[in-house]
Amino acid sequence: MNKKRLLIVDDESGFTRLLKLTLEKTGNYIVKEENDGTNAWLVARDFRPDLVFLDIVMPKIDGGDVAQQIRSDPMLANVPIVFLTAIVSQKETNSESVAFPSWPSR
Amino acid sequence: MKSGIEIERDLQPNLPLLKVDAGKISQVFVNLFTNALHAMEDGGLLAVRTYSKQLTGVGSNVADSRSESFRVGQQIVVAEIDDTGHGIPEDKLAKIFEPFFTTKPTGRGTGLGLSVVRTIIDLHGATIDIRNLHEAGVRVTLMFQS
Repeated sequence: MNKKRLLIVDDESGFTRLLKLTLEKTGNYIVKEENDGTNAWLVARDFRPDLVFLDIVMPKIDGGDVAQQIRSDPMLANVPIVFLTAIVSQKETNSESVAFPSWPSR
Repeated sequence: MKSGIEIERDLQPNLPLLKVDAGKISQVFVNLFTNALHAMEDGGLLAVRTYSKQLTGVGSNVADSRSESFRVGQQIVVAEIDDTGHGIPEDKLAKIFEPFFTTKPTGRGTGLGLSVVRTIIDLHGATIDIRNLHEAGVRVTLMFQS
C-alpha cells in the first residue's frame, strides 16, 4: 500500500512531534512537520503532501494566509487542508481568506 | 459550560505525586472532557474520580498494551471519567484509538484526539481503557504508576 504523505504546519513543536509520532506508528503515513508557517508553502511544494494539517494562529503568518498560498499554487491547489487549532473563535470561522468546509478543533 | 450538564467530583486528597508532562496530561483531560460533553448534547452527568490503590492484579482492569509494565502490589493512581451520553457502538470500540477514526458527525471531529491521547498516555507508561457502562455512557479509566 502506498503510504499517504501528511504535512503538519504548527508553531508548537511539541504538538507536531506528538502528532507525527501518533500518525507514523500506524505505519500508514509519511509525515513531515514544519514549525515556521512562512516556510510552509515551499515545504509543501517540495514534499507534495496528500493532506495538510494547518494551525490557524501562528506567529509571522496565520493559517489562512498559508492556506491561500497553497490554494493559489496549481501544483497544490487540490490538496485537502484540515485546520487544527486550540481556539476556534467566531472571527476565525468567519475568515474570508479562503473557504473550507469545516473547522475542526484539536 | 454546556447547559444541563452536571459535574460530580470525587477527588481523593493527598494523592501520590506523579512525574508527568503537565501540559500534555492537561491535553489528555481536555480531550476526554470534550468528548464526554459532545456525547451529552441533551445534558447528563460528568463524573470524575481520582484515587490511589494497590494493584491486585493485571489483566482485565489493565487492558492495554502497557499492562506488562504494571506489577501486582504496586501503588497506582487512577482517574476515572464517566459520562451518561450515548456511548460507543461496541463494534467501534476497537477502532477508537486509530487516527482519523471518529464517531462524531462530519465537521465535528478530526478523529485525531483519542489517538494523540493514547500516544501521550503510552509515553507516560500509563494505561487508558475506554468501555461502555451498563446503564448509559462511557467510562474512561487512566492508570498511572506512582
